[in-house]
Amino acid sequence: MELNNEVSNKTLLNSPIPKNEDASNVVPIEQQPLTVDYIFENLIFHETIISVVSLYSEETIQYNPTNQLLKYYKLNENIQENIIKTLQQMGTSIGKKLSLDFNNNSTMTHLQIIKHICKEVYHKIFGRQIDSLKTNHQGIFYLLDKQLLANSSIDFDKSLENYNPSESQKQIKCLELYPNFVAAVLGGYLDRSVTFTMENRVITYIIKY
Amino acid sequence: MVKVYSFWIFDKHCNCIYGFEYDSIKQKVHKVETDNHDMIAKSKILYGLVFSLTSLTTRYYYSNKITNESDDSLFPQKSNFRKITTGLYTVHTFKTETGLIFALLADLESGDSMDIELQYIYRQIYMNNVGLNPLAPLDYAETETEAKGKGFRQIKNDNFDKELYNFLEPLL
Amino acid sequence: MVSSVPDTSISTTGSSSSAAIKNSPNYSNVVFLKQLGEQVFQQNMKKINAEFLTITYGSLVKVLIDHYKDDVEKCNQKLKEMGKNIGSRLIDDFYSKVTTQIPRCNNLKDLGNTLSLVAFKLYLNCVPKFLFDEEEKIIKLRFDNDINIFSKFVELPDEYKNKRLYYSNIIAGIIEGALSGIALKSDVIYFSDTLLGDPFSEIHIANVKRIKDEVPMGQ
Repeated sequence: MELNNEVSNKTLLNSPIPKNEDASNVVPIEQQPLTVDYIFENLIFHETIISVVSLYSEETIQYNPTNQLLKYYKLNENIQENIIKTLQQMGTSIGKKLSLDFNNNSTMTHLQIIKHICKEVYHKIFGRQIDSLKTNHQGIFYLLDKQLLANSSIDFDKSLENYNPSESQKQIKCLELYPNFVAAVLGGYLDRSVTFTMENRVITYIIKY
Repeated sequence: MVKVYSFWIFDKHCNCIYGFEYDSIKQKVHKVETDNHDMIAKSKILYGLVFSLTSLTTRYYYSNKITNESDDSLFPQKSNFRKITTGLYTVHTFKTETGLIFALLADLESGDSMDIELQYIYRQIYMNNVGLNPLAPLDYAETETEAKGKGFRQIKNDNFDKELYNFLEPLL
Repeated sequence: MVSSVPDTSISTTGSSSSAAIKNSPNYSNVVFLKQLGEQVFQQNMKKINAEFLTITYGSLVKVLIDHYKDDVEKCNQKLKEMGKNIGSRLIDDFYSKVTTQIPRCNNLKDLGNTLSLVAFKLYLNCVPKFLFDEEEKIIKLRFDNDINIFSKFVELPDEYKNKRLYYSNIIAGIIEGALSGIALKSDVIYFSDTLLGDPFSEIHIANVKRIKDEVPMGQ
């Protein structure tokens, strides 16, 4: 068995770069972007938001993730504000760090920058592009996301103890945490404030120039 | 054409967390719900059947010394129950490594295995709407007292219902 | 119950059918698992750039440190709790991705190989070195300097180095949560971390025990 282990270590050490004589065919390993599984990334994204809520709502370190979102609407307004503020601060700093390798040369028009946001930045966050882009041609852009909350599997389970059918409209308030966070990321990236509206779970980010 | 009579999901706490039965005469779906005692009784009987046959066959496996292991080893071999055929219908089950049991009652046309269907339900419908949904609980038994078959919570998720019915409707 | 119906037949999976034993691949063959890991990784179409994950995680750790007012022990615990919640969802996803191909585990060595060669490859696109302590029955996963995505490009201030903040402690939590999903109780600890000046990063999985299957009342 010991031998086996050594073999495995050796095979691991042998790097899988093919020794191809034609140098143009070899992709340098540094240029391949590091990738992770989408579902894994998504789980960490959700858990990040939930754990920020739990920091303010719970004394203990242990927490039940589902209850954090279900009980969110019951929290004191001050606490809710603190949570949103923390998420926004996080988002802004994330956006700023993401924008480091984006050289914003002045030749880019506003539309080009917004398209860059819709295609590449959103792709970095959720692995897809934004669903649609509208503009009034006077410097206001509307970015619609129909998938994050509306078309997705995020839905209440009605059998839970903390689910309250008579207050489900209020309970849905916890979903606002998501666009709050993402809007802050986009805002940090562009270095300007990004607002959003949410209607029937369709999120519209509004960027003003 | 395969006909499906009913569908059930059991969790690792021996609770039925989802179940429905199709009444072909009244064209109505009966679901397992807290106030539907008839369906709860049925779910308990079905779980009892699956459970006792699994433990029976597993005990035979170890007592016949087919293996040197004992059943309290770290990774015991489980003789998981796949299907029973009676003269009238077949019970197909699929047990996941995490302890969920998906069971499907279908007529004899269903043949050897409905594994593909059951795995589709697990991988696509269950995982997308319940397993990876941050608003669905990690565990349907919220407290200790709801474990060991005494739980009463079921999956009540509109998207899950819809997708499952869409998938099974042609077979009902 | 069964015998009352004349034409009843029962079929079961697993060990009792000899075909299953014959077809199951040789588990000691690490090469097989390695190929499986590669294959699952290639087949997985839903992959995403790791940049956002790395940065988000960094800012989360910062928020935790601020919130707990430099109480590093609490930060470590919180990160582990988060990991457990993630792990208990992730294990279902893992099996739904590899369920038909993955061979059965027979011992802790198999478990360690599966973790490092398949699970880490699939989710984090890195393969930690797996070492096994025969006497203590400890699974050791060793990360060579830069392959851990979470701690890439990270440098800790000396203050947290001295207090031993395990920056990637979430991974330990994820492993513990995932193992508890398949009825294995374990103690997973972050043993050492290059970020803290140790020669290598290592995660130790110790005291692996089986949780007995629940029996319904009245049985």
